[in-house]
Amino acid sequence: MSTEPSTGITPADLHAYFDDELMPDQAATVAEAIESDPQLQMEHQQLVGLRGTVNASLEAAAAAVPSARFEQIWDEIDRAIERVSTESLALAARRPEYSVLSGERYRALGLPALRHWRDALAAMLDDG
Amino acid sequence: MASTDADDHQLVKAAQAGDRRAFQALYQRYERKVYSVAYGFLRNQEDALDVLQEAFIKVHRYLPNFEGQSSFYTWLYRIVANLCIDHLRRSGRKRDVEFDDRLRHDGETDAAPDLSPITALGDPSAAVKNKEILSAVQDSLGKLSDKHRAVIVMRELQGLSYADMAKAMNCSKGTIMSRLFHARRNMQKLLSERLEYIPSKTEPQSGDSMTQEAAS
Repeated sequence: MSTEPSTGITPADLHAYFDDELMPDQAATVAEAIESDPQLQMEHQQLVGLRGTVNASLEAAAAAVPSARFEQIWDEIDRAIERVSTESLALAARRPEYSVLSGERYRALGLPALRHWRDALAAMLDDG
Repeated sequence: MASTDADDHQLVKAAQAGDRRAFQALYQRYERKVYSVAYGFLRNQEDALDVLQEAFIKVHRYLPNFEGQSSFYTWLYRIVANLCIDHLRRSGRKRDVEFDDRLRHDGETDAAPDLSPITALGDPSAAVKNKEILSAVQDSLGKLSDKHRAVIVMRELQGLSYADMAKAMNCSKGTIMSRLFHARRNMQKLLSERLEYIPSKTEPQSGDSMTQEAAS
Protein backbone atom coordinates (compact mmCIF):
# COMPACT_ATOMS: atom_id res chain seq x y z
CA MET A 1 0.00 0.00 0.00
CA SER A 2 1.51 3.31 -0.94
CA THR A 3 0.77 5.28 2.16
CA GLU A 4 0.28 8.94 1.52
CA PRO A 5 3.70 9.62 2.94
CA SER A 6 4.30 12.04 5.75
CA THR A 7 6.75 13.85 3.50
CA GLY A 8 3.91 14.95 1.20
CA ILE A 9 5.61 13.42 -1.80
CA THR A 10 3.06 11.76 -4.07
CA PRO A 11 3.79 8.70 -6.20
CA ALA A 12 3.51 11.01 -9.22
CA ASP A 13 6.27 13.22 -7.77
CA LEU A 14 8.42 10.17 -7.26
CA HIS A 15 7.99 9.03 -10.85
CA ALA A 16 8.73 12.50 -12.19
CA TYR A 17 11.84 12.65 -10.01
CA PHE A 18 12.95 9.24 -11.23
CA ASP A 19 12.39 10.40 -14.82
CA ASP A 20 14.41 13.59 -14.44
CA GLU A 21 11.39 15.74 -15.12
CA LEU A 22 11.53 17.95 -12.02
CA MET A 23 13.07 21.37 -11.61
CA PRO A 24 16.29 21.22 -9.56
CA ASP A 25 14.72 22.54 -6.35
CA GLN A 26 11.76 20.14 -6.57
CA ALA A 27 14.16 17.30 -7.29
CA ALA A 28 16.19 18.20 -4.22
CA THR A 29 13.06 18.08 -2.05
CA VAL A 30 12.16 14.64 -3.35
CA ALA A 31 15.72 13.36 -2.94
CA GLU A 32 15.68 14.50 0.67
CA ALA A 33 12.34 12.85 1.30
CA ILE A 34 13.60 9.58 -0.17
CA GLU A 35 16.53 9.69 2.24
CA SER A 36 14.30 10.03 5.25
CA ASP A 37 11.33 7.85 4.32
CA PRO A 38 11.92 4.09 4.05
CA GLN A 39 8.63 3.60 2.18
CA LEU A 40 9.61 6.11 -0.49
CA GLN A 41 13.04 4.59 -0.60
CA MET A 42 11.56 1.20 -1.35
CA GLU A 43 9.27 2.55 -4.04
CA HIS A 44 12.21 4.31 -5.63
CA GLN A 45 14.20 1.07 -5.56
CA GLN A 46 11.34 -0.68 -7.29
CA LEU A 47 11.36 1.86 -10.09
CA VAL A 48 15.10 1.36 -10.46
CA GLY A 49 14.63 -2.41 -10.45
CA LEU A 50 11.84 -2.30 -13.01
CA ARG A 51 13.79 -0.12 -15.41
CA GLY A 52 16.86 -2.31 -15.10
CA THR A 53 14.91 -5.50 -15.60
CA VAL A 54 12.94 -4.26 -18.61
CA ASN A 55 16.09 -2.98 -20.27
CA ALA A 56 18.05 -6.14 -19.56
CA SER A 57 15.30 -8.32 -20.99
CA LEU A 58 15.01 -6.30 -24.21
CA GLU A 59 18.76 -6.21 -24.59
CA ALA A 60 18.79 -9.98 -24.18
CA ALA A 61 16.18 -10.21 -26.96
CA ALA A 62 18.44 -8.18 -29.24
CA ALA A 63 21.51 -10.21 -28.30
CA ALA A 64 19.67 -13.35 -29.40
CA VAL A 65 19.45 -12.13 -33.01
CA PRO A 66 22.39 -13.44 -35.05
CA SER A 67 24.73 -10.80 -36.51
CA ALA A 68 24.06 -12.16 -39.99
CA ARG A 69 20.47 -10.87 -39.75
CA PHE A 70 21.71 -7.38 -39.02
CA GLU A 71 24.09 -7.62 -41.96
CA GLN A 72 21.23 -8.64 -44.22
CA ILE A 73 19.22 -5.66 -43.06
CA TRP A 74 22.19 -3.42 -43.80
CA ASP A 75 22.34 -4.81 -47.34
CA GLU A 76 18.67 -3.96 -47.78
CA ILE A 77 19.25 -0.45 -46.52
CA ASP A 78 22.26 -0.06 -48.76
CA ARG A 79 20.26 -1.15 -51.80
CA ALA A 80 17.41 1.21 -50.92
CA ILE A 81 19.82 4.13 -50.59
CA GLU A 82 21.40 3.21 -53.90
CA ARG A 83 17.98 3.12 -55.56
CA VAL A 84 17.06 6.52 -54.18
CA SER A 85 20.26 8.14 -55.34
CA THR A 86 19.84 6.64 -58.82
CA GLU A 87 16.29 7.96 -58.95
CA SER A 88 17.35 11.42 -57.91
CA LEU A 89 19.97 11.41 -60.65
CA ALA A 90 17.26 10.48 -63.14
CA LEU A 91 15.05 13.27 -61.84
CA ALA A 92 17.82 15.73 -62.40
CA ALA A 93 17.80 15.03 -66.15
CA ARG A 94 17.40 18.19 -68.20
CA ARG A 95 13.88 18.73 -69.47
CA PRO A 96 13.32 19.96 -73.02
CA GLU A 97 12.76 23.70 -73.04
CA TYR A 98 9.53 23.44 -74.97
CA SER A 99 7.57 20.26 -74.28
CA VAL A 100 3.99 20.82 -75.43
CA LEU A 101 2.72 17.66 -77.10
CA SER A 102 2.61 18.73 -80.70
CA GLY A 103 1.64 15.47 -82.39
CA GLU A 104 4.19 16.21 -85.05
CA ARG A 105 6.08 12.95 -84.57
CA TYR A 106 2.82 11.07 -84.49
CA ARG A 107 1.77 12.44 -87.86
CA ALA A 108 5.24 11.83 -89.24
CA LEU A 109 4.68 8.12 -88.54
CA GLY A 110 1.72 8.23 -90.92
CA LEU A 111 -0.86 7.35 -88.25
CA PRO A 112 -4.47 8.51 -88.63
CA ALA A 113 -5.15 12.00 -87.26
CA LEU A 114 -6.19 12.15 -83.61
CA ARG A 115 -9.62 13.48 -82.68
CA HIS A 116 -9.86 16.67 -80.70
CA TRP A 117 -9.77 15.73 -77.01
CA ARG A 118 -13.27 17.17 -76.50
CA ASP A 119 -14.71 14.78 -79.10
CA ALA A 120 -12.87 11.84 -77.56
CA LEU A 121 -14.17 12.73 -74.11
CA ALA A 122 -17.74 13.12 -75.34
CA ALA A 123 -17.52 9.74 -77.06
CA MET A 124 -16.30 8.13 -73.88
CA LEU A 125 -19.09 9.66 -71.82
CA ASP A 126 -21.67 8.48 -74.36
CA ASP A 127 -20.25 5.00 -74.14
CA GLY A 128 -20.78 4.88 -70.42
CA MET B 1 32.52 0.11 -27.01
CA ALA B 2 30.60 2.88 -25.35
CA SER B 3 29.28 5.22 -27.98
CA THR B 4 29.65 8.86 -27.24
CA ASP B 5 27.94 11.91 -28.62
CA ALA B 6 31.29 13.12 -29.95
CA ASP B 7 31.86 9.94 -31.96
CA ASP B 8 28.32 10.12 -33.26
CA HIS B 9 28.79 13.72 -34.24
CA GLN B 10 31.85 12.92 -36.33
CA LEU B 11 30.16 10.00 -38.03
CA VAL B 12 27.08 12.09 -38.74
CA LYS B 13 29.20 14.84 -40.30
CA ALA B 14 31.00 12.33 -42.49
CA ALA B 15 27.75 10.62 -43.47
CA GLN B 16 26.24 13.99 -44.34
CA ALA B 17 29.19 14.57 -46.64
CA GLY B 18 28.25 11.35 -48.43
CA ASP B 19 30.57 8.89 -46.68
CA ARG B 20 28.62 5.63 -46.93
CA ARG B 21 30.99 3.84 -44.57
CA ALA B 22 30.43 6.39 -41.84
CA PHE B 23 26.73 5.83 -42.27
CA GLN B 24 27.26 2.11 -41.98
CA ALA B 25 29.24 2.66 -38.79
CA LEU B 26 26.28 4.56 -37.34
CA TYR B 27 24.04 1.67 -38.28
CA GLN B 28 26.35 -0.85 -36.65
CA ARG B 29 26.56 1.24 -33.54
CA TYR B 30 22.80 1.36 -33.09
CA GLU B 31 21.44 -1.75 -34.82
CA ARG B 32 20.85 -3.77 -31.66
CA LYS B 33 19.70 -0.84 -29.62
CA VAL B 34 17.11 0.12 -32.23
CA TYR B 35 16.11 -3.50 -32.58
CA SER B 36 15.52 -3.88 -28.85
CA VAL B 37 13.35 -0.76 -28.83
CA ALA B 38 11.32 -1.94 -31.82
CA TYR B 39 11.05 -5.42 -30.37
CA GLY B 40 9.81 -3.90 -27.12
CA PHE B 41 7.05 -2.09 -28.98
CA LEU B 42 6.09 -4.80 -31.44
CA ARG B 43 6.99 -8.14 -29.80
CA ASN B 44 7.91 -9.72 -33.09
CA GLN B 45 11.36 -10.23 -34.58
CA GLU B 46 10.50 -9.64 -38.22
CA ASP B 47 8.45 -6.53 -37.51
CA ALA B 48 11.27 -5.18 -35.38
CA LEU B 49 13.80 -5.80 -38.15
CA ASP B 50 11.48 -4.07 -40.64
CA VAL B 51 11.37 -1.03 -38.40
CA LEU B 52 15.16 -1.06 -38.08
CA GLN B 53 15.44 -1.04 -41.87
CA GLU B 54 12.83 1.68 -42.36
CA ALA B 55 14.38 3.79 -39.63
CA PHE B 56 17.82 3.88 -41.22
CA ILE B 57 16.44 4.55 -44.69
CA LYS B 58 14.59 7.48 -43.15
CA VAL B 59 17.65 8.62 -41.25
CA HIS B 60 19.60 8.60 -44.47
CA ARG B 61 16.95 10.60 -46.27
CA TYR B 62 16.69 13.28 -43.59
CA LEU B 63 20.32 13.33 -42.57
CA PRO B 64 21.02 16.45 -44.67
CA ASN B 65 18.42 18.31 -42.54
CA PHE B 66 19.76 17.08 -39.22
CA GLU B 67 21.48 20.05 -37.64
CA GLY B 68 22.41 18.47 -34.38
CA GLN B 69 20.33 20.53 -31.95
CA SER B 70 19.64 17.25 -30.22
CA SER B 71 21.98 14.31 -30.04
CA PHE B 72 21.91 11.84 -32.89
CA TYR B 73 20.45 9.05 -30.78
CA THR B 74 17.59 11.22 -29.48
CA TRP B 75 16.76 12.06 -33.08
CA LEU B 76 17.08 8.43 -34.13
CA TYR B 77 14.93 7.23 -31.23
CA ARG B 78 12.19 9.69 -32.08
CA ILE B 79 12.13 8.31 -35.61
CA VAL B 80 12.04 4.75 -34.31
CA ALA B 81 9.27 5.50 -31.81
CA ASN B 82 7.20 7.15 -34.54
CA LEU B 83 7.67 4.23 -36.90
CA CYS B 84 6.67 1.74 -34.21
CA ILE B 85 3.58 3.73 -33.28
CA ASP B 86 2.61 3.99 -36.97
CA HIS B 87 3.16 0.28 -37.29
CA LEU B 88 0.84 -0.43 -34.37
CA ARG B 89 -1.80 1.91 -35.77
CA ARG B 90 -1.58 0.42 -39.24
CA SER B 91 -1.83 -3.11 -37.99
CA GLY B 92 -4.92 -1.87 -36.10
CA ARG B 93 -4.47 -4.08 -33.15
CA LYS B 94 -7.73 -4.51 -31.32
CA ARG B 95 -6.05 -4.69 -27.95
CA ASP B 96 -5.09 -1.09 -28.22
CA VAL B 97 -8.68 0.02 -27.88
CA GLU B 98 -9.42 -2.42 -25.14
CA PHE B 99 -6.96 -1.05 -22.59
CA ASP B 100 -6.36 2.61 -23.02
CA ASP B 101 -6.15 4.37 -19.66
CA ARG B 102 -9.18 2.83 -18.07
CA LEU B 103 -7.31 2.05 -14.92
CA ARG B 104 -6.61 5.69 -14.37
CA HIS B 105 -9.33 6.34 -11.84
CA ASP B 106 -9.52 3.15 -9.85
CA GLY B 107 -7.09 4.54 -7.32
CA GLU B 108 -8.20 2.22 -4.53
CA THR B 109 -7.38 -1.05 -6.21
CA ASP B 110 -4.33 0.48 -7.78
CA ALA B 111 -2.30 0.59 -4.61
CA ALA B 112 1.31 -0.44 -4.91
CA PRO B 113 1.38 -4.23 -4.76
CA ASP B 114 3.99 -6.19 -2.89
CA LEU B 115 6.89 -5.74 -5.22
CA SER B 116 9.68 -7.14 -3.17
CA PRO B 117 10.41 -9.90 -5.72
CA ILE B 118 11.57 -7.30 -8.21
CA THR B 119 13.99 -5.62 -5.88
CA ALA B 120 15.19 -9.03 -4.74
CA LEU B 121 16.43 -9.73 -8.25
CA GLY B 122 19.61 -7.76 -7.72
CA ASP B 123 21.63 -6.94 -10.80
CA PRO B 124 19.12 -7.10 -13.67
CA SER B 125 21.51 -8.14 -16.43
CA ALA B 126 22.69 -11.04 -14.29
CA ALA B 127 19.11 -11.91 -13.32
CA VAL B 128 17.84 -12.20 -16.90
CA LYS B 129 20.49 -14.83 -17.59
CA ASN B 130 18.10 -17.07 -15.70
CA LYS B 131 15.75 -18.19 -18.47
CA GLU B 132 12.72 -18.34 -16.19
CA ILE B 133 13.24 -14.78 -15.07
CA LEU B 134 13.82 -13.62 -18.62
CA SER B 135 10.60 -15.17 -19.83
CA ALA B 136 8.75 -13.81 -16.80
CA VAL B 137 9.82 -10.29 -17.78
CA GLN B 138 9.07 -10.80 -21.44
CA ASP B 139 5.66 -12.36 -20.80
CA SER B 140 4.75 -9.53 -18.45
CA LEU B 141 5.73 -6.96 -21.06
CA GLY B 142 3.70 -8.89 -23.60
CA LYS B 143 0.61 -8.72 -21.40
CA LEU B 144 0.63 -4.93 -21.25
CA SER B 145 -1.51 -2.99 -23.68
CA ASP B 146 0.29 -1.56 -26.69
CA LYS B 147 0.05 1.93 -25.23
CA HIS B 148 1.39 0.92 -21.85
CA ARG B 149 4.22 -1.01 -23.41
CA ALA B 150 4.99 1.93 -25.68
CA VAL B 151 5.43 4.36 -22.79
CA ILE B 152 7.52 1.86 -20.84
CA VAL B 153 9.86 1.31 -23.79
CA MET B 154 10.09 5.00 -24.68
CA ARG B 155 10.91 5.99 -21.14
CA GLU B 156 12.87 3.09 -19.66
CA LEU B 157 14.82 1.99 -22.71
CA GLN B 158 14.96 5.07 -24.91
CA GLY B 159 15.04 7.65 -22.16
CA LEU B 160 12.73 10.01 -24.06
CA SER B 161 11.40 13.02 -22.16
CA TYR B 162 7.70 13.30 -21.30
CA ALA B 163 7.44 16.05 -23.93
CA ASP B 164 8.97 13.86 -26.66
CA MET B 165 6.73 10.98 -25.68
CA ALA B 166 3.66 13.21 -25.81
CA LYS B 167 4.61 14.32 -29.30
CA ALA B 168 5.17 10.73 -30.45
CA MET B 169 1.84 9.57 -29.04
CA ASN B 170 0.00 12.70 -30.06
CA CYS B 171 -1.36 13.43 -26.61
CA SER B 172 -0.73 15.75 -23.67
CA LYS B 173 2.13 15.50 -21.20
CA GLY B 174 -0.42 14.85 -18.47
CA THR B 175 -1.73 11.84 -20.36
CA ILE B 176 1.80 10.53 -20.73
CA MET B 177 2.47 10.90 -17.01
CA SER B 178 -0.68 9.08 -16.07
CA ARG B 179 -0.17 6.42 -18.72
CA LEU B 180 3.40 5.81 -17.63
CA PHE B 181 2.40 5.65 -13.98
CA HIS B 182 -0.22 2.99 -14.63
CA ALA B 183 1.94 1.15 -17.11
CA ARG B 184 4.62 0.79 -14.45
CA ARG B 185 2.11 -0.29 -11.84
CA ASN B 186 0.70 -2.92 -14.18
CA MET B 187 4.12 -4.13 -15.16
CA GLN B 188 5.24 -4.33 -11.54
CA LYS B 189 2.13 -6.25 -10.62
CA LEU B 190 2.38 -8.70 -13.51
CA LEU B 191 6.06 -9.23 -12.97
CA SER B 192 5.95 -9.76 -9.23
CA GLU B 193 3.11 -12.24 -9.64
CA ARG B 194 5.19 -14.19 -12.13
CA LEU B 195 8.32 -14.00 -10.03
CA GLU B 196 6.53 -15.41 -6.99
CA TYR B 197 6.52 -18.75 -8.74
CA ILE B 198 10.21 -18.84 -9.43
CA PRO B 199 11.70 -20.21 -6.24
CA SER B 200 15.31 -19.95 -7.31
CA LYS B 201 15.11 -16.33 -8.40
CA THR B 202 17.37 -14.85 -5.78
CA GLU B 203 20.10 -17.42 -6.17
CA PRO B 204 22.44 -16.49 -8.95
CA GLN B 205 22.90 -19.56 -11.05
CA SER B 206 25.10 -20.53 -13.89
CA GLY B 207 23.59 -22.35 -16.81
CA ASP B 208 25.32 -25.53 -15.65
CA SER B 209 23.74 -25.75 -12.24
CA MET B 210 20.35 -25.23 -13.87
CA THR B 211 20.96 -28.11 -16.20
CA GLN B 212 21.99 -30.28 -13.29
CA GLU B 213 18.86 -29.42 -11.39
CA ALA B 214 16.72 -30.16 -14.39
CA ALA B 215 18.44 -33.51 -14.81
CA SER B 216 18.05 -34.58 -11.20
